Amino acid sequence: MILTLWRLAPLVMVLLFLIGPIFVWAEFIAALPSAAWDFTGATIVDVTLTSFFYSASVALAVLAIAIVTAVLWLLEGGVGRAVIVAVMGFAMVSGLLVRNYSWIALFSSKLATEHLPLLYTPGAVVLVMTLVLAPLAFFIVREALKNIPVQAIQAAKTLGVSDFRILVFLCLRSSRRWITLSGLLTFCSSMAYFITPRMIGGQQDYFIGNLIVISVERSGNLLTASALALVLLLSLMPILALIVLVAPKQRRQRVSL
Amino acid sequence: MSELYHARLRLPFLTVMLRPLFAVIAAATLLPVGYAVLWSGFGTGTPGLLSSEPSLRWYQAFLASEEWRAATWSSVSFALVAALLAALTGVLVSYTSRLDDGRLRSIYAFIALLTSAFPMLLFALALRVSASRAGFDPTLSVIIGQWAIIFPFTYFIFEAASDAAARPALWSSFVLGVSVSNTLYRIYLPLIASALAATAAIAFLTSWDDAIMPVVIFDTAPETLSKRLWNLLNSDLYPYPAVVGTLFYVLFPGTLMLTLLLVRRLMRAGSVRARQSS
Repeated sequence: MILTLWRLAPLVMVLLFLIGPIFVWAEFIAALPSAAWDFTGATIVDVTLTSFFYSASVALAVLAIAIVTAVLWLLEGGVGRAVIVAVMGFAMVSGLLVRNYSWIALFSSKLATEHLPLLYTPGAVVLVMTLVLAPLAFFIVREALKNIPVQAIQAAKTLGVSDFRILVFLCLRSSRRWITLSGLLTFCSSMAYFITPRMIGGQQDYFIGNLIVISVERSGNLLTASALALVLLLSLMPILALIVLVAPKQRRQRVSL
Repeated sequence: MSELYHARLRLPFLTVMLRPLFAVIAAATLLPVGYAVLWSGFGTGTPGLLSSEPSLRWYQAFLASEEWRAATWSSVSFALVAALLAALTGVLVSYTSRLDDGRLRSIYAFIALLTSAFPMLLFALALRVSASRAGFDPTLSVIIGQWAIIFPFTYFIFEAASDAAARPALWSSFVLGVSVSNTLYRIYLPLIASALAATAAIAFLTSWDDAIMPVVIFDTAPETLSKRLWNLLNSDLYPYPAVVGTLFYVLFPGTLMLTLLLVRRLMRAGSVRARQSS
């Protein structure tokens, strides 16, 4: 009995914290009045499609960076690996708002305004979001490459397979689930992004997340925000289902008591 | 070591090709960080315009401001609580899932995966609605939200850390009749001390400037650093974000080292040292 409590207490806590608010919100959404669906301004379909397009661009760019960096990490020795991990690790925790403000200042400088006027354009939003989200994707791909059994590489080498073919057909091929997963997770994060699109993209609503935040922030309108959020969630459902399908399965380990 | 040496791929041409690419990626990634440091010292009232003489006036203005100090204190307090909660749940989740036949691990892995994929903006909205309906303090919602952001990282860090070492050690402990709580304190915690320190540090570093939860959940007070930085968008852009960033870049290695040392010391205090014989 005590053991069962031991085992289940953290699960109950996790479910209470994570699922509890979603249930309350679902109940709130179920009772939404029809006025909540009366969206003004840009049509919701247009904004959703725009978000989809930019998020897909960001996900593809992030994947390219993550794969290039993770492959270089695999090929490098001790110091090279440490430098790559340090750069990506620091980028991951170095303050999102601060970096966005730095980009605003950089894009506002005389050099940038004269030669590369990117501020308040979709290109700048995609560029900054890519640089913000790339480190996480890198760590996911690196984890996959790290877990390739040494024996598999040795066996391939013993059989005379070239190093390039080992990289492509063994390392990258066996990491394809993780690579896809990192792309899908990046896509989901991008779809609900509002900080970089608002800061770097200006007042133009490229992303559905911006509409949600504007509803909450300016008018405290939780009804419209919830309706918009539901649209976002429904548009992400196929991707979430794909993530569950693609995710590598857990190995089962047992400790007998 | 020699086994790893023989498993290393040797593609000098590809390595030479990829190095400049990584240099560009690294430069673009670190450019705003470097600029923030410059901006905090050479910044003027106009974004993008740097003065020729360095000065500490933005630091002095930041430290002299009651509002900035209060916002920093709020952010650090929230981040500390969220980091402690993340570390605690991480330990309990990873430990209890090892007392089970694998079903719990699958459930936790599924929850962690869905949490990492689920848009946190929507979760923040759900927390705000829950707080207003259930009538509890929005501060609690922000802490739960920050914990939720960290939970998947916590889970995967602990999974990676305890996979190799924990199973035989726990098994031996239970066979020798040690209780579940004693095994947790004397065997499991010392084994995952590094992961615990890493989790606490990462949780703190990702929480202190989290903007999603405070922006969506808080209407007014308490104003966190991120909420205050976010609100700067609607006013003149002075180099305060750069000052916050630079102070953080200075404190970052210190926080990391201190957490690592503290957790290791605490863990060693109650540990049974196991020697691995090979």
